Amino acid sequence: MIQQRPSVSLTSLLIQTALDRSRSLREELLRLTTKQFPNNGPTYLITLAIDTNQQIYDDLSALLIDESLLTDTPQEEIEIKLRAGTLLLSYLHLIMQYVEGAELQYSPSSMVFPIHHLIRKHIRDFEFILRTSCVYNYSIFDLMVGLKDVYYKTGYSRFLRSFPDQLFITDCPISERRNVPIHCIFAHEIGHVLYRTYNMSDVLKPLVSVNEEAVQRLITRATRDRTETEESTNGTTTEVVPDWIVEHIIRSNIQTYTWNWIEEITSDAIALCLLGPAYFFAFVYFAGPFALLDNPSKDHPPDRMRIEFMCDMLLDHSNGLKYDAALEEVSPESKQYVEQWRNYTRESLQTTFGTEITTFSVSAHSIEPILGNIMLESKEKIGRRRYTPGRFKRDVPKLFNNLAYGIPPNEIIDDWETGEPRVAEAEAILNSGWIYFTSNDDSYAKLLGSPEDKWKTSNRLFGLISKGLEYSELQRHWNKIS
Amino acid sequence: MTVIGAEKLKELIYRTENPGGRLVVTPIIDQKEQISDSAAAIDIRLGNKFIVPQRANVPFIDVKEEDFITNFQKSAETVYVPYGKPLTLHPRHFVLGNSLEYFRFPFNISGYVVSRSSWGRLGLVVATAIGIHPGFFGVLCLELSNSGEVPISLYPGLTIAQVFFQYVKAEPSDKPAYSAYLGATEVELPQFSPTKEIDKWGKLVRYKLPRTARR
Repeated sequence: MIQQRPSVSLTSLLIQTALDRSRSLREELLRLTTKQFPNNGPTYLITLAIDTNQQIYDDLSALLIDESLLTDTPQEEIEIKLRAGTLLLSYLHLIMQYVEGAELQYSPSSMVFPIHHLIRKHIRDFEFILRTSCVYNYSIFDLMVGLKDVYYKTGYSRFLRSFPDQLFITDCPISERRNVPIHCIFAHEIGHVLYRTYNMSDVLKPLVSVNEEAVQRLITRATRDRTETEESTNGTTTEVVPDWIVEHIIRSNIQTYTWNWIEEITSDAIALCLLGPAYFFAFVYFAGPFALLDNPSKDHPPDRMRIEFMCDMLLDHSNGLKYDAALEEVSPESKQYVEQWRNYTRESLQTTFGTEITTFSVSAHSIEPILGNIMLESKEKIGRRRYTPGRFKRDVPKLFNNLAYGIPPNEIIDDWETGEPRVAEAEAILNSGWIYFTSNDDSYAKLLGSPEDKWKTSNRLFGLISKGLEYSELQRHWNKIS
Repeated sequence: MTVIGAEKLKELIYRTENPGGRLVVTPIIDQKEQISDSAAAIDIRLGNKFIVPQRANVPFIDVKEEDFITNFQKSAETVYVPYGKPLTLHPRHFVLGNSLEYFRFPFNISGYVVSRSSWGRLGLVVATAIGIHPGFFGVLCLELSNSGEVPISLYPGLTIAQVFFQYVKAEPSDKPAYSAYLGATEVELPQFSPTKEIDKWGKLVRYKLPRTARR
């Protein structure tokens, strides 16, 4: 095929079009600079986009300034510049998407510090964007992977030199932005990051052993079903799927589910190590009302299995976190609440799958024997940075008492003789919030004098917990700069 | 009326173990600056969130209308100002803000908010609804207006007003006076509905006045 060289006028037009796109993008990016964000992540990203866009504009407009330059430059070079510029321009549009929803008034800004604090214990060089979206889901991913890829491919990688190693984009549902306690779910998302950071799959995956007999039965059934289908389609010629492909699909599905589910369950275990019972309460509050306890998916094991595992890890499993006594001492009602969930989800695999053999059930049964290893591995990796029953017992009752009197849980006075306040940890604040929320149905409503409006009461309580987080952060930073 | 002095205020805040009897003002990030030894008040700071009414969005607000709060909401913009950045208040402009501090009053103490003299001299009026009832808990709403002739920059975190505290002589109740703003953690839109009360007054003026009065 003959490669036609475009005319100078057509090339000029293409460059001009790219320049116009760049100008339009600049206007939008400048609009974003007028917004207020709770942390530096969005500003970093906007600045990166503005600088890159300007460079693309300068590079492309240089070609247009002098027509002889355009004529003399080899076509390949022009195309490379144009392609690099346009590829990056479309990527810069994506960046705007990650910043929208991260503004101070739309994001749960009081969670910025706790999230930063939890990640910083394990990863030094990172930034993150906390944003809300219309999807009822929590998620996290590292944007730097994609950014590096595109910037290196297009030759603009110098712009990433002063950028952090990792830039996490964290999403939460916009409808719950004021519901601070539910955002403990972020600990699970951080769990995903740590699972990868510490290469935990290297330790856990070799421990898995799949029930070969069950796999063979699945393969036999699938090939038999396929044959029956073929026989029933009289008169039509269909291409027969070979046995080895059927077997490959089944084995590959089981492997995918197993690996994904191990990551999910380990992320739950890490979240419990980071936040203690607060994560458990947040999870059942988040997932509970939707009655999907027995619905597994490619990425997530059934919630019933996850909850049973979390109850074990929180309470009395030999490799667990041993919160039994602490929960009993701080709030018997909350312990009872965990136990109710435990009874409800006991023998979860039996309830969810019964005796039926499916790819999902084979995966679940292959993970069950290594749950103890998952607990142990998570505890070891989080190490001394994990939240402990001792700290829970020391602080939560005092902060609980604050909430009971409508006082934000941001500081603790240990000695009433000296009256010296101590700034509360974010983990303790979130746990006290959940313990109060799960063990006191009407007391806060009575305090407000409006027991009839439960939604308003919950919102007031969430606001108080959020205030506790905000104040404790403020006090801690003030002490540092003083 | 006994206004409570600095030493007693510190005792009530920091050395009263019983949460019910404790006066809560938090966070006091600089105790020496906010509760000076010779003063009889606590200096309070400006928070980050503001409700800024706009002049052109609605023709007027009639509190008799059932949806007047919605109208007020339409005319107002919520603004968050970070620490270190200003909110500029123009002459005769009015915004709602809140105290940075959260309060909880015991049932035997009430309080009132007043402007600080230095800000007052610039033309700033900080609060018009100044009384705080015993048992109240929440942040304080500040009705900020510039009655001066030049714009004023307001910076969140600065001490902007002061709260005086006094003992209540009557038998203390164990329930706070009900308020829609009880437990508020940030400035909120007005929440009241005087429609029925206005109707009642409307019925009253339709009564015929007695003969003697007519003369």
